[in-house]
Amino acid sequence: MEGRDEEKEQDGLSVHSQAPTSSASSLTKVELELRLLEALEIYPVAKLQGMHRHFVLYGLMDFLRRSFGRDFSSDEVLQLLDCFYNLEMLVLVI
Amino acid sequence: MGSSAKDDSSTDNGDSNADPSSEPVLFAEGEKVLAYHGPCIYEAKVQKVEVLTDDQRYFVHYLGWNKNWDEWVGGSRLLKFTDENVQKQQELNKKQGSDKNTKSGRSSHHKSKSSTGTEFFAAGRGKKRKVEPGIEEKDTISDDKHVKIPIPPQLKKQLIDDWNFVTQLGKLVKLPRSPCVDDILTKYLDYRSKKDGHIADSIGEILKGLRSYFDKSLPMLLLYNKERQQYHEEIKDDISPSTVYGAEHFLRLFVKLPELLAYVNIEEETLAKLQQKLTDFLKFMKSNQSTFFLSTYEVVAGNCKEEEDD
Repeated sequence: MEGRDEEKEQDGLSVHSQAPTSSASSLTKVELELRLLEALEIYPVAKLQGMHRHFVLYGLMDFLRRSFGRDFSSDEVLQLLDCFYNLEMLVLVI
Repeated sequence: MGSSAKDDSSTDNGDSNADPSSEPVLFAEGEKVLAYHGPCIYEAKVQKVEVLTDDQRYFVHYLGWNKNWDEWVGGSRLLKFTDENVQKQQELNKKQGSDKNTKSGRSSHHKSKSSTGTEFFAAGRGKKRKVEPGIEEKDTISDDKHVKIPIPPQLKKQLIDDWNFVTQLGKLVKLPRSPCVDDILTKYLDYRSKKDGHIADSIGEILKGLRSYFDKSLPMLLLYNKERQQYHEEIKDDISPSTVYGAEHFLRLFVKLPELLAYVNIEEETLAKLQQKLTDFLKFMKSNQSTFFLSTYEVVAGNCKEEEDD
């Protein structure tokens, strides 16, 4: 029993100690997602499935670069998009 | 301006309207003429005359239209400015139902202008029309949003020669080309990675975009009519045109690029950055002009027959 309590306490401590980092990273994630959704108003995701795909992706990359002041790779953008859309289906249509 | 610009069909249209039995009519510099453009005839002025081996070609300015539409045309596209021909112009334009002052004429032009033809070396301009305030404001805005991609003069000349070889001399680029479009893109990527020390993901995406545009638009926008048969012979199954065609056809894409990019609705700031990158790419093409481009085209056996048929 004692051991269990210690474990709980340790868990609690560990949670506490990680809390600031975790919330900071989730804030960044939320910020990223919000910005991405904003960008999608300009570059509709449907355009990712046609001949304009790469320039749409380029537009999204540049939008995020300007928002966050760092470069975004196309893979990063696609991973973010993957949170909201089934990209495999999009690729299939290309 | 009327509907589709001077593509092969419009040139042929001009040919078919010219009297084949008569001697070629010659025009002088500064002469006011009537010029076929698409299905209609417009008033124009001959600004330059170039004497070719067995023909002449003329640099014309369409009166009342932006000089961006000035272009080189063959003699068959021109008519003497006589009462008879003016009447012909009025009848034809009426028949086409596309009076350049009407809305329908313009919108049809806007959509179909992107056919093949001499407009390849018109530096990627949008529409040709008279400046008439209050009409189609929306069109003006979208036209302004087109990114300007300046084509270096040396490459513009390349486009003119290209047009001349194919449409006037009946020659074709011998395929497959080496380097092909894919090779050129790879060479540019190498050049940039050496210059910058790394490969920027954004450059890679732009190059992929150019490749995708080329593959999709080649059969629809970038071929002259005389090249279509060759396309069907060379591009079968899943072959990508960018592995077969080379710089000659790829360069034509840059004339059409502003229109294509308009569909993406890219933000102004991003567009400016993209414009810089595309300009740099064209500079690279210019620097390698002698290795990327053919200096002469070949008469392809099948094409002779096609020419006769035309």
